[in-house]
Amino acid sequence: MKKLTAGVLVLVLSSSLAVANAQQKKSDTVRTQDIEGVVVTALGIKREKKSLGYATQEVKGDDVNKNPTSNFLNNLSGQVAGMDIKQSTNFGGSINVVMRGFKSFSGSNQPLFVVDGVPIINNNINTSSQTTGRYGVDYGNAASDINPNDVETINVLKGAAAAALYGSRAANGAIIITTKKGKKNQKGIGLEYSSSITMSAIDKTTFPKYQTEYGEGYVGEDEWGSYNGGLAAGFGSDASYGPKYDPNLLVYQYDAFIPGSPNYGKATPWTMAKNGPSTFFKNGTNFTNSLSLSGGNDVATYRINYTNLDATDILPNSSLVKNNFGGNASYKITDKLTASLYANYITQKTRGRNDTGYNGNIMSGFRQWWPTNVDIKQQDDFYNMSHQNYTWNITNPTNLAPQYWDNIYFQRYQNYQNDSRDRFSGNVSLSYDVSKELNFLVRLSNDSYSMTTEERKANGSVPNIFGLNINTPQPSGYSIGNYRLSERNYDFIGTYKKDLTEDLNLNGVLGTNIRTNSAYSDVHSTVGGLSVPNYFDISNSKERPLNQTSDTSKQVIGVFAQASLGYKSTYYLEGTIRRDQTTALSPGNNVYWYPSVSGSVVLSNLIKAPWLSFAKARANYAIVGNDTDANQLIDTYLAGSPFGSQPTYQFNAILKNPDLIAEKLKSMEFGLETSFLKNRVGLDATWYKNDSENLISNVLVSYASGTTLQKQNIGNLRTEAFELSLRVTPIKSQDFSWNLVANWSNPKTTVTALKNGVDNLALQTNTSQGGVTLNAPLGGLYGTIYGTDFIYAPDGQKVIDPDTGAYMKTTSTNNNLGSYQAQWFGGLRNTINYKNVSLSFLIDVKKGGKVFSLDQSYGYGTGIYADSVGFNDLGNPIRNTLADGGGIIQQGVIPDPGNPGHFITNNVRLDKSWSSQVLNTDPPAAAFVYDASYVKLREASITYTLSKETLGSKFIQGMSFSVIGSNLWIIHKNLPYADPEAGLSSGNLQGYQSGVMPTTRNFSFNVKVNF
Amino acid sequence: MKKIIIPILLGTLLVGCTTDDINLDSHSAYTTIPSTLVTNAQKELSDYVNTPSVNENNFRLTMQYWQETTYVEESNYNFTNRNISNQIYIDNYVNVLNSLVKAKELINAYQPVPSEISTWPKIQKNQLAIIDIMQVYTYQGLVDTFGNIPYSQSNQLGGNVAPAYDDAAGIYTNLITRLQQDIANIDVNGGINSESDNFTSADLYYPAATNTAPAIAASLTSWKKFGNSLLLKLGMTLADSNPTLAQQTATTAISNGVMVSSADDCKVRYLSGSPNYSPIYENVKASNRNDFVGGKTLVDYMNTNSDTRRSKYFRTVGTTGNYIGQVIGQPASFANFSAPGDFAYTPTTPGILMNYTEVAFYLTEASARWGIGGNAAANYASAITSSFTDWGIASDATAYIAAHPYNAANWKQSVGTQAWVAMYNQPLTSWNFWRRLDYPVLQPASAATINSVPVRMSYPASEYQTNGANVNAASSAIGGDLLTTKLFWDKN
Repeated sequence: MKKLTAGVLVLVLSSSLAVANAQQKKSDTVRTQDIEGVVVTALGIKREKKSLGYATQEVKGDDVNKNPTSNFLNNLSGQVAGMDIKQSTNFGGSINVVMRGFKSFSGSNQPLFVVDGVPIINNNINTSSQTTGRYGVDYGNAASDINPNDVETINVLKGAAAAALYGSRAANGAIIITTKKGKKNQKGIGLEYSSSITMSAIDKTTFPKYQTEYGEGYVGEDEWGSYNGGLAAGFGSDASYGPKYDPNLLVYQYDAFIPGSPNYGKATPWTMAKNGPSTFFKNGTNFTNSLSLSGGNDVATYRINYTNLDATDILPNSSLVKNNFGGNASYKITDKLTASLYANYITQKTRGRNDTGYNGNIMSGFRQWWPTNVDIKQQDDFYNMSHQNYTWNITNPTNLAPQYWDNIYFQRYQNYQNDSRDRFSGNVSLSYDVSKELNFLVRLSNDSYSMTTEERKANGSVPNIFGLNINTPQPSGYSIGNYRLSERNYDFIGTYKKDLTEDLNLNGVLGTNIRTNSAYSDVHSTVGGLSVPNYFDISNSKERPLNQTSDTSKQVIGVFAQASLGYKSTYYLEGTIRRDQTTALSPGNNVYWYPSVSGSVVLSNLIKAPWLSFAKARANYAIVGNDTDANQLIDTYLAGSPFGSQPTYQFNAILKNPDLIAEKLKSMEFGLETSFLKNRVGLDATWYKNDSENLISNVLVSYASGTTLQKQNIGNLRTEAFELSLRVTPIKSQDFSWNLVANWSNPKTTVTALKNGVDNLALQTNTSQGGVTLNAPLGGLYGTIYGTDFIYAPDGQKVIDPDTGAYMKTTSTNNNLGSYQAQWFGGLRNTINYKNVSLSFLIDVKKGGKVFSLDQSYGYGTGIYADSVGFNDLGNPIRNTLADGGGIIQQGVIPDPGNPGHFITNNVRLDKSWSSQVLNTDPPAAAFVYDASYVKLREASITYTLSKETLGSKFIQGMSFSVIGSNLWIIHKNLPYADPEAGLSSGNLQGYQSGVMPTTRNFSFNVKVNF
Repeated sequence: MKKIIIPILLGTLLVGCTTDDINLDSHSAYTTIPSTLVTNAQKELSDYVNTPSVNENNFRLTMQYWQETTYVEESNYNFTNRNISNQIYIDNYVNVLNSLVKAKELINAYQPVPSEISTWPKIQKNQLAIIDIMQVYTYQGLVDTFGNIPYSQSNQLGGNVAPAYDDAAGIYTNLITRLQQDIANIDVNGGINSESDNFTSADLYYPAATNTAPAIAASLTSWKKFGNSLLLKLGMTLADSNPTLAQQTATTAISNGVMVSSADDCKVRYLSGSPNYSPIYENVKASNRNDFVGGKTLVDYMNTNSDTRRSKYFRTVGTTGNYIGQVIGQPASFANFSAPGDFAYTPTTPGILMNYTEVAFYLTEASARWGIGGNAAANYASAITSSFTDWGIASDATAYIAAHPYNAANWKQSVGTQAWVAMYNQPLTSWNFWRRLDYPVLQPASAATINSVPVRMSYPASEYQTNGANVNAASSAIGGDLLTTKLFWDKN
C-alpha cells in the first residue's frame, strides 16, 4: 500500500520539477496577493491572512461548484488538510465532516457552517436505530442545501483559536462560506447561466461478485424438498449454500407456483440466474440548472439566483428535486451607514431514499442473504403483473406469503418513503461607521427549516420493525414525522481600528451574541397494521397509534472581546476572551469563560532572501467551553402503548443529570507558512494538540442500576497531529501553467481519562448485528471496534477447534479489533491550464482505519461470494461433503493431543458442505474487520473556456464547457465488494457496514455562460 | 464609550426575556401516577417470562420443547452472538424492577387528599406489599438464571451505577423473610385505590372484578395466595441446599394458604391486537416467520406415552396426522416437522407467571420429601389433572395418571418427568424443576460446544464493560462464569 502511494506522488513531483527547471518564462511569479490576501474570519470580520496567528485554508468557489452533486460537501473532499470528509453513498444522504479529530464523545464533532455570517443548522434527524444499523432511512444533513453555484470562497478556520469568537460549536472548526456578491463595473448585464447533466452508474468493485456454482439453500445437497414427485428448491432459504447447479436437473423453483408465471407448474433447469442483482440498478441522473443576475453601482450591489436540481438515484422509483432561490444586496444608505441583506429559500422534495442497515434493506439482501438462482428481471415481471408481492422467498407451494424478503420491486414501488423540506436562511445587518476607526454592526440572522417525512409499508409485506415500533414487527404501516428546527442569532459588534503609532496598529472587537436554538419534532406511527389496505394515514391504524413529540429550546448568551496588535506589519499579537451563559446547564454551572491568545511573526520581513517570498511563524493557545443539549437535567416518564384502556408509563432509560458542568477544550498550535521561488512553491506546516475535558456523554452503566445509560461528565480526549499543505506551480507561463496542491494530515484521537473507574465508554447503546460495538476505551483510540476475536496460540497462530476444523473464537465480545480512525489522509489536486483549456484531477488517499462488514460476515455463511467456492488441497470442490473429499484445512494450529499446553499444525478438515451458520462454524467478528485504506481518483475534469474576444459576441462575456468525472476509479482498497467510505449516516458511529449502497461513477457535462 | 453602551444594553434587555423553563420540554412528562408504572412492569415481566424470542428467552429450546428451523445458534447454546444476557438484565432490572421502584417512590411521596387521610395508610401498605411481591418474583428469577446477582445495591440509578453482586444463597434467605413480611402486610379489607389512582383496574394480574370493596378484598386475597405460592416456590428450590429452611418455609406457605385451583392462577390476559398480544403469538405468527418446530425429545416422549396434550402442544405434520419433532440442535425444514400448537397462533393466549399446576407439583414434592401438604400421590394426581384441565382436555387426565402412576420409590423421576411435560408453556419454571430433580435425563444439543445442557446463563457482556470488577468477583465466587457452573441450590 505504502509503495503505491509514494510512487504516485514521486512520479508527479519529479516530472514537475524537471519541467520547472527547463522553463522559466516571464510572468512566472504567483502573486503574493493571491497567497496572503484578505480572508473572512469569524463573525464575518475581514483580516489580512498574514496577521492571523492560527491555521486557515481557503478553497475557491470554482473548486466546489464545478462538479454538480446534490451535496456540495462531497466536493470539498481532499482539498483541505486535516478535513476528513466521508462521502455518502445514500441517496441524498448525510455527509460526515470532521476536522482535527474528535473533540466530543457523543456530541457533534462536525464543524460549524457559516454562510455570509449566518450559522446554519447541519445536524441530521436520523434515529438511533438508523445510526446503529438496525433500520431506517438517512435523511441527509442540511449543509447540503448550500448551493455550490453561489459560493465565492470558503475559508476553513481549523482550530479552536480561529473560532474562539464563535463560541462552543466552533471548537470543531468553522467553515466560513462567502457567497458571490454583485460588483459595480462588471462587464455585461451580469447574467450567468449554468447547466449540467450527470449520469451515474455503479462501480462494480463496490458490489458483490457472486459465486456461480451453487444455488438456494443452507444445507448443500440436503436442501432439496419434494413436490409432485420431483425436486423442489428451498424457497425459504435466503442463502446460496444449496445444491450445485446442473442445467440438466429440472426442479420446481418458486416461479412454478406464481399464478401467471410462464413456468407455472413446470420444473425448470437448476441454473444461476441470467439477471443477477447488479441488473437491479439503473443509471442515476442529475440535471442542474442555475441562473443568476448580479450587478452594482457606487451605492448598491445585488445578486439574485435560482437553481433547480432534479436527480434520480440508481434505484428505481427515486427522485430528488431541489429549488434554491436566493439573493443578497447591500446598500449604502449614507457614507457611513450600510445595510446588507442575504436571503435563501430552498425547497426539496425527495422520494425513494434507500433503506439502510440490517432490517428490510434490499442491499443487505443482496450482500448478506441472496440465492443466486433468483432472477431480477423475473421479479420485475411478477411485480408488474398485478403489483402484488410475488416474492422468491415463498413459504411453501400453496402459501406464497413472503418469509423474510419482499419482492424487491414491490418494496421500491409500494414501500417507498418521501420527504419534503422547506428552509429559509437569511440575515439583515446594519453597519455604521461612527468614525474612521470605530464601526458598529447589528445583525439579525435566522436559519430555520421544516421537514415532513413519510414512510410506508404496504399490506402483504414481510412484517418487520417499522417507524416508532422499534420492537414489535408490523405487517403494514405508515409513519409520518414533522420537524421544525431553527437557529436565531442576534449580533451586536463594535470594531475599532487605529494606528497607535506609525508602526503599531490596534484592532479591537467588543460584542455580544444571543443565540436561540429550537427543535420541534412530532412523529406518529400506526400500530398493528393498516385496517383499510394501503390507505396510508394515521387514522387507519388498527391499534392505537404511537406518537412521540418533543419541543426543546436552548439559549446561549455570549459576550466577547478581542484585541489585536500589529507592529511593523511583522509582529502580531492577539487575545480573545468570551463569556457564555447557557440555559442547558443548572444555575451555578451555566456560566463559563474562555480565553485565547495567538501570535505570529512574518519572518520574511526579517530574513531577506531572493528565494524566500514569504514566511510566517505562528502559535496560539485557546480554550473553548461547551454546554450540552437542552432538557438533560431532569428525568422524565415516557408513555407507552396502553394495555387496552390502561395507560402505561416508564421511567426514561437514559438517566439525566442536573450536576453537569461545562466541557472544556484546550488547544495549542504551532505553524509555519512559507513560500519560495517567487511564490512558485508554498509549504504550510502545522502541529497541534487538542485536549477536551469533562466531556459529556451518555455513559453505559450497569443495567442492574435500573437504567441503561446516564449522562455524565465522563472523560477527556486528546488529538495530536501534523497538517501539511504543499503548493507547487512547476510551470507558469503566458499560455501554460501547472499547479499542484497536496494536503496531508494524521489526526489521532485517544481517550486520556475516564472517571469513576470506567475503563471504556461505549459509543452506542445497543449492540449492532454481528456482535460488534463502537467504543472509546481508556488509553485507546476513539472509535474502537469491539467484537469476538480469534484465539491465538503463544506463537501468534490462530487456534482451531480439533472437533470441527473451524477457528475457535473468544466468548468475550470486548476484544479490541481496531479503530475506525485513519492513520493519515490527504489529497492531491493537479491542475494544468493551456490557453483556454484546463485539466484537473483530484486524488484522495486514506491510510488505515478499520471497518467491520456485516455484509461479509453474514455473506460468508450464506455462501454468496466468489471466495466461498473453489478447490481444496485434494483437488476436490471445497463444498463436497467430507466423505466426498471436500472441506478445507484452515491455516492455524490445534492443541497437541499428546502434549497438553502445546500446539501442532492443524490437520482437521473443516466441513464446507453446509452453511457455517448451520454447522456453528462461523468465524469471529475479527475475521470481518478490514483495513479501510483507499486511494481514489476522486475527480477528473476538462474545461474549455471561451473568452469574449474569441466568441466575438456583444452579449456573451464568456462561456465554458466542462466534462467532469467523479468517483472514477478506486485505485486501491482492501475491503472486498464495497466502498470503505460507505456507511450508515453522518455522526460518530462509523466503521460499520450493513447493506451499504454501491458507489457510483458520475459523468457530467456542464455549460456555463456569462452575459 | 456612550455608543458602545447601546448594543450592550440591548443585549441585557434580551437576557431578561428568557423564561425559567426554556430548558424543559413541554412535551415531556416529569411525573406520573404509580399504577401506570405497575401496569408497565407487569406486562414487561409477563412478556419476558413467556416470550420465545431468541433475543431474550431461549428456555423452550434449552428444555428441548422446541427446535429452531433456520438459525440454530441458540438451540446449540450460543447465547453470546445476540447478547441475550444483556437483554435479560434490561428486561428485568430496567423494564420491570425500575418501574416498580419508581412506583414505590411515588406512592411513598403521595400526599393523600382530605377524604382519604384515614384510609390512605392501609391502602399504601397494600400497594407497597403487592409491588414488593413482584420484586421478589423478579429477583428470584434472576438468581435462578445467573446465581450471584446485584441485589442489595441494585436499582439505585445514579446513586450506584456499578452495584456489587450479592451471594445467591443470602439473597434467597432475604427474599423469604421479605416475602413473608409482604404477605403479612396485606390487609384484605384495607382497600387498594387512592383518590387519584385506581390501582386495581391497572393491576393486570389480579384485577378486582368490580370497583367494590368485596371484589377488591377478593383480589387482595388472591394476591396473598400468590405470595404464599411464591414462598412455597422459594422454599422448594432450597430443598437440597438448605433442607431445614426449605421445610420451614414450605410449611409456613402451605399453612397460610397457597393456590388451590386454576382460578388463583397469576397470569396476564393478553389482548388480540399489537402490541398487547401474547409474545408467543408475536414471534410465531405476527412476524410471519417460521423459526420453531417441536423438539424431538418432548414430541417423542408424548408420542411414546400417548399423551393427548400433544394435540394442544403441537400441530400434526401436513396431512400425515403424525407428530414429529426435530433432533435438538439441528436445523429443520418447517414443513416436515410439527409446528407449535394452536395456542401459539392465538393472540389472546394468556401469559403465565405462576399457576396452580406448578403449585400442585411443589405440594407433591413437599409431601414426598417431608410428608407435609397432603398425600404425595393425591397431589401428583391433582397436578397432572390440573395440567390437562389447563389445556382443555380434563377428561383425559384419569387415563394418563393410571398409565403413569406416582412412583414413591423414585419420586424425583415421577415428579421431575411429569413436571417437565406439564411446564411446557412455562420454560423458566421447567428449567428450575429439571435442575433440582434431575429428571428427565436430557442430552446436550447436537452441535453444542459444551457437553451438557446449560444450568445457568453467563453474565452479560455489558456487565464486563460497565461493572467489570464486581462481575469478575462474582464470577470467581460462583466457580466460573460458565453455562455449566451449577447454582448453589442445584445439588447433584
